[in-house]
Amino acid sequence: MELKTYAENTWCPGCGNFGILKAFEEAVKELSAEIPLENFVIASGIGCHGKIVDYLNLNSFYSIHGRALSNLQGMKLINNRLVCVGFVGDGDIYAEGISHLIFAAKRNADITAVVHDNRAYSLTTGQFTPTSPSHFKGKSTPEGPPEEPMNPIALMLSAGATFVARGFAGDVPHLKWLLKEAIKHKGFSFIDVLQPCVSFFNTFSFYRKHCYKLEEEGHDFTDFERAMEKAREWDYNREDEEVRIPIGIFYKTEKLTYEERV
Amino acid sequence: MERAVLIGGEAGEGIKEAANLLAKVLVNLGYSVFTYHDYPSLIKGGHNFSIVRFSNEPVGAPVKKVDYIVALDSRSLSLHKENAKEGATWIVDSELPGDIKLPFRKMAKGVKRSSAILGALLKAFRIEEEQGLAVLRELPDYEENEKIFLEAYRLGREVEEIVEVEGIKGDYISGSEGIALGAVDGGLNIYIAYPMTPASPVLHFLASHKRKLGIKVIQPENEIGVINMVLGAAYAGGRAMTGTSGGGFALMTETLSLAGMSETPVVIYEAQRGAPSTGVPTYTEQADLLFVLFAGHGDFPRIVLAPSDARECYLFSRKAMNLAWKFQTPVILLSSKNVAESFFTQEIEREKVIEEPELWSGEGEYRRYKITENGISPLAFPGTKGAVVKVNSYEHDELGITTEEPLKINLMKEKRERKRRAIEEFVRDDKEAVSVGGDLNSKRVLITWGENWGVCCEVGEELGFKAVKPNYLEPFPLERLKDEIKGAEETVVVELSVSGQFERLLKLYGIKADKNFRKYDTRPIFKEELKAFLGGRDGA
Repeated sequence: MELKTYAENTWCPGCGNFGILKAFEEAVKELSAEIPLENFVIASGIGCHGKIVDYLNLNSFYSIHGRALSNLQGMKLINNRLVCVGFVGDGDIYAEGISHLIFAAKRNADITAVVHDNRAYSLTTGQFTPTSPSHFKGKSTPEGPPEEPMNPIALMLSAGATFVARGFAGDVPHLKWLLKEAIKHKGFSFIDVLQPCVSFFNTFSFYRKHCYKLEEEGHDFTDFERAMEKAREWDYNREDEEVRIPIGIFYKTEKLTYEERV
Repeated sequence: MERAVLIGGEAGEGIKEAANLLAKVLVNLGYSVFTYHDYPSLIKGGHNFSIVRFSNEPVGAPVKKVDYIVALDSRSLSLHKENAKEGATWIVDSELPGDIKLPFRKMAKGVKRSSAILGALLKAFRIEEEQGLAVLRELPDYEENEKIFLEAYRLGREVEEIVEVEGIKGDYISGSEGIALGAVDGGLNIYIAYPMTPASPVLHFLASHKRKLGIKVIQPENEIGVINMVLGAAYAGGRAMTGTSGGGFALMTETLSLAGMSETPVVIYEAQRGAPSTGVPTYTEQADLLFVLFAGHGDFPRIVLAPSDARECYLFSRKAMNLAWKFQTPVILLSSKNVAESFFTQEIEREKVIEEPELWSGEGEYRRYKITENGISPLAFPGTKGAVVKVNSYEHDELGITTEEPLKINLMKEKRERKRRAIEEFVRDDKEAVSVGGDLNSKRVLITWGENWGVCCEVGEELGFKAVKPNYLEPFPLERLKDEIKGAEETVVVELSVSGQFERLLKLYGIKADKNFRKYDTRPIFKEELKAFLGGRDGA
């Protein structure tokens, strides 16, 4: 099965986005036993992440900055058989499109949001985003941003998302598993993917050293309070030696979807 | 025979409802009724009034001078002295000075006062009780309303007889209901909107009838979310529409450009209100015209239709839905408060008209942006076996993949430009592109658009002016318009804009008017005002 298009891949060599692309391709191949390929729709915002839709020979909606999840919600209300996956960026959806993200979670729209969280605006050559640490010396904030990073995992738990996970672009098999679980989940699925940017914020070795898997430590993802505790374990700011960054499924529950209730 | 009734009081005490109940009775008796509702941006208190104008000849414009005034409070007495014709009958609450006194405020609370007002008015007109009960039966809580109505009818006093007349039979319908029903009959699947006056009545109407109409109606987080959900729905093959006013439309403009680039069919209903900014929310203006015509970055085709009454709202809304899909581009229905919220008596012949857009044949590789002669690429929707449907906000190739190559960029820009010309051609051939009215043989011509149509036609007929209006503002039906004003000895542009936006648009197309009538206090043009302007004092 060939999922690639003829589009030339223009991500920087070694970019974290390659890991996400590979994990998703494999996930789709495995899911295609149950889901016909023509029922997949992928959408993206604007930023390095967005290019992923050009590289995949699947139905796609290459949207504008911050709005991809709104487009997907509209589609899903018309055709409930569609399997809608939004690839969005951290600047894209945590800044420009934050309202749409919160409301997609609040409604439990049956779509999947995959955030390519490189914690930098990279296609615009390196400014700080909502998840950049306060020491991030970007082009618009040479002394570091005068604000703290937001914690998207805690935010999504508060907003009512029924599937909340974090992945790491450097661990493709684990990310593939998360993507499959997220896509199969009925309701709003959210994955914040830690995605190193080799040009403006190379975090590969930091994540490799500090990430651990929730499922390996017996985390009960049906327990909301425990999920919130795990979400707060790392604040997207700390980079000291002791910091531990959980990846995996924080929380998962069943609720009626938006499409069922409209 | 023509009469007008003004009903005034506080918001929340059934002023608007009383006017609509009276109008329904009159329509049942064969009259043509035009109702103007005037209300400020508040929920309780303040001052609301409605003017019900009726005649055995068709009426479609607001008047200032009335024969009857119903006043529930002292504010109505002082404010509406200027509306009273000589010898007008004042029907007032018992606490106030007037010709006929009823204890309206003691008899009923809140919106139910409308039944008391109806009782008093039907008595004054010597219209049988049963006519009133027939319209009250449509209300919830009929029994209490009936009691209030009959009590007011008993306490009221006869003034003159309004008899049943032959002739005018129509629906009593607002512009908003026309927009909603037109969209439904044009195949609407989903209406997505954020509340904003004066577009909200369409949202409310569709939401309350969604089950019966078989459509979905949703209210997302903001206008940006709204318009992007509309695009998503259309991409998946659903006929989707939104409605808003100037400020909400401003928020949608980035995505308007996306609709143009991605060639996604969308219908946007823009009901203008007093602007700029928050402006005068519950009143009217035509000052979004140039903004709507030029909104959105970059070159892309659009269609802008401007209805003037409920019937046109119905027809243009249905047409907008079909044109959006035929040409795969945004269509804007540009209306204003006094089309949206006024009630007209017009026959609406409902009929589903859903033209199938050009669809993919299913053969060979699907190319969403296939280069074609008329610029229209066949549609396919996600979920179609054998088709990969890729749409793109970036400039793209035929498959929908991003490109920055000059040759491919030119191909795609020229494809969209050919589509724009195809739309121009379509409008050139559309018999409904321009309307004419008033005194058709006159060499004096009123050029107007949108909500001023009714008043221009009526005054034109009385004072000897032909009235002309474009129904499309983009593409502009220039040839037809020029034909209609050829040989005119005097042209007057009538519009609601302090800077004369419509006049400037006409100038852009080489039409220079001799005179203009501009109103911008956000109230509609009352018939007396235009008559006075065109015909000297009192229109003599």
